[in-house]
Amino acid sequence: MRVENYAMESLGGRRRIRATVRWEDVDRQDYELYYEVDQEHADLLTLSAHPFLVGSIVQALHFGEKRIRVEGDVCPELIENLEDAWRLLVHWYAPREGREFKIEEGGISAMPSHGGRASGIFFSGGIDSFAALRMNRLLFPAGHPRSFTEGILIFGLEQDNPEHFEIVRQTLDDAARETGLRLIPVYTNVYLPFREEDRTNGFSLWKKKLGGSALASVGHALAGGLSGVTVAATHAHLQPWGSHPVLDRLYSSSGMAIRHSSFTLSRPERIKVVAQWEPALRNLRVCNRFLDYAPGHLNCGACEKCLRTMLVLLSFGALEQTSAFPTKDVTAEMVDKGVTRLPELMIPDYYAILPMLEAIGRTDLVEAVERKLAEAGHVGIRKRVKDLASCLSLAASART
Amino acid sequence: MRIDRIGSSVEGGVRRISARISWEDCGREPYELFIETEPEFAGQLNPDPHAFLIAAIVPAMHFGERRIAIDEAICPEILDGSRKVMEVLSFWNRDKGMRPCDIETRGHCSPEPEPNVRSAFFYSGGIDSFAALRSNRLNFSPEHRRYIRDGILIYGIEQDDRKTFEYLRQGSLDVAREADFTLLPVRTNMYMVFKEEDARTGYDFWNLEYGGAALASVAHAFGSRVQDVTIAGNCDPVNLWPWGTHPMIDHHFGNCRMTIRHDAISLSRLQKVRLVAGWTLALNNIRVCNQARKYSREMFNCGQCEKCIRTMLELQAVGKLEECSAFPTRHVDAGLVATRARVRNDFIRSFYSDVIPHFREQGRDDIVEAIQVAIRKYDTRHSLWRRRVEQLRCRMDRLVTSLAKRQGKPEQCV
Repeated sequence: MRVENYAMESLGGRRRIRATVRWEDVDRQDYELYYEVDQEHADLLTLSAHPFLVGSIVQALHFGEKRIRVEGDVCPELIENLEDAWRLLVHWYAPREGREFKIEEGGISAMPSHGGRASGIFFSGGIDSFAALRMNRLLFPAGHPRSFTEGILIFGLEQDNPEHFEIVRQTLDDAARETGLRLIPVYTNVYLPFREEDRTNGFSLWKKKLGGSALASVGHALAGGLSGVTVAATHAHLQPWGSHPVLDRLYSSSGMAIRHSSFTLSRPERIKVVAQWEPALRNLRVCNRFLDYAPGHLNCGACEKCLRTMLVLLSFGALEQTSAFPTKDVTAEMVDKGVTRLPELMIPDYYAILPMLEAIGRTDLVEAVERKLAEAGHVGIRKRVKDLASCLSLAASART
Repeated sequence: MRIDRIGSSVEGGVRRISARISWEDCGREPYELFIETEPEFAGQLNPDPHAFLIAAIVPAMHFGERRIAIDEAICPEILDGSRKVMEVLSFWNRDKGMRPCDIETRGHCSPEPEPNVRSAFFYSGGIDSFAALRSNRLNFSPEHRRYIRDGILIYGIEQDDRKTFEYLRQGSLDVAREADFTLLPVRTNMYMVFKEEDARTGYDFWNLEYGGAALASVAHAFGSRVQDVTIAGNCDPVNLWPWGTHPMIDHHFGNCRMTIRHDAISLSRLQKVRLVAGWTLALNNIRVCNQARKYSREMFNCGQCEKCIRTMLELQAVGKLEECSAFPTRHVDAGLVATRARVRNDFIRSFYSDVIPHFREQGRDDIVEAIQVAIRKYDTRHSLWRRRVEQLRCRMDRLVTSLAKRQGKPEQCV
């Protein structure tokens, strides 16, 4: 793969950096990789090889390119880190292939002059990013170099509909203002050329390999104003994953630190953090059905992700305090209807939810969740004890 | 645990920073934790509370303290990182019942990033540290802030004999001069107070829990001199098991003023040996032997212990042992392997199995056979009891995993 022809240009009220990505060993369409910001944030955007290198290396590796060659100078720390990153990915996903891969750069860059000192967070309005922001606010006083000042909202990852993006942007603009962030919308196609074919594989490229590097590449594009960006942890498990506490850091350069936060908190623990913070609770966006978005309504309240979140909020007594969801209660029927399939990775979350629902006396929901776990082939301890007890009691009654 | 009486003193030109560590829950004797250095660097060793906090958190957890109280302002980033490390270590060591401690401080401080960053690494003369230095020299120009300028040599970790440390210090000075870094000798008792009892458990406390924290603590003590410190990693992705120094742990001891790095996670031991062996200076100054009392002014490797034999085999596998003057002999034969090679764990097993194809290529079937015998011995010795222990462990793991699932805790580490 060759990454070349970098340019920075103004385009319809926005500032864009772009490069041409050419495939060498696999038969795929070349494409222009770009990162764009609104004109008011143009000072953050910087033209270097870094965003393009970080934003295409995983794709090169995934599709079988033998090398990635970038024009221009590259930070030696970034090269060193990327070599570790690709070896780690190869070890995770193709340990027996003995894969050879090379990073070739035009030259070695000197230390960055440090355009930016600010600290940013990828801010989607979801549980993970709100929890990471809250933890940051609780820990770091304003003015501390690690205190987040910029919230980065990306257009072109899970959705690329300008109309719906605008709805999200407006909601999060308010949320950002309330929480002391400046919202920086970034428009990129780092994932778009691959999304449709990735959809046919259950988004496995995004989830297992690309997530961390795609976000990190946006961070590098904003190196004119930022010195570090934080990727909010998605999972508490530490299995190989595209965004991972070990992997994400390996996309850092001397001038841009990529951090992975809050991996020690489980999702219910993160929801608890969010539930106790009014601005987050009010502006929460967990739903991925973005075609249903309307101003003031970013969560359908009926899909698996919405319901899972609502169940935890309910158990913390926070669901009735938020208008982020269409209803202020969850019923067993809603779970039966909405949770059609339990994602394997979310099973631990559902196990964690059971005692919480039990504690608030919602046995109807406990039973509904247990039904779903059983359907997914998971039988909880509670259910097993119950079954054993009823077997024993049946045996005892048979004897008498 | 309480950390107090933080201060510094100078005696005979040697500067010492220290703090009193008092146990609250585990009934151990209080002790004075110290770090000291030579007159030349005295001005750059400061009683930074972060150094003492970081040095204390792992022992506090290990011995079951419920809290760590330090009456100092602490950087929130260090606090956050320390809590993350405690979470990770307690998860890895859950079978020992390790639990994170509360940390009580006198508020927060906000250290300012240092504009002129100076880089250092922990120099031991071993394969990992030489590989880290070599890779740094190949990748970074002298103008770059990541160019290593200081090598921190610690007395009081794997060895505590003043005479042999002096040999080592003298030998390392020559390496430092040639490799263009300043040797920064440091003496500390932060591990010595636990070493004897740790020896009884095969140094598990140091290996599996304390390594990264202890080194990071020393880095913070020299925070006015160095701001970017590399800990040479010893695991590659294949062997990235829970360990005291680990890419999941070490960097959490850093903050905006001090970067702690865990280096080279992707290089296997043999790749590092190859890197080191291609550098004459390193090749002739490797020190892998832990038999410190056998050191002489000229020789730091006994050439007889398992670690020496293993490293010599690796050098011979890449065709460089003949050129290496760091060991008493320049070749290893099958007899030496048969009598000295001993596989103690899967980690070491992987080192031995990695060299087999190289000896096969060299037509040294006698050495291959001797290595295979050592590996087979390990496999046999461990297979029977190991199966039983593993069965028990799996049952325990299943129980813990199901509990972890119910709490939504991390299930598996890389």
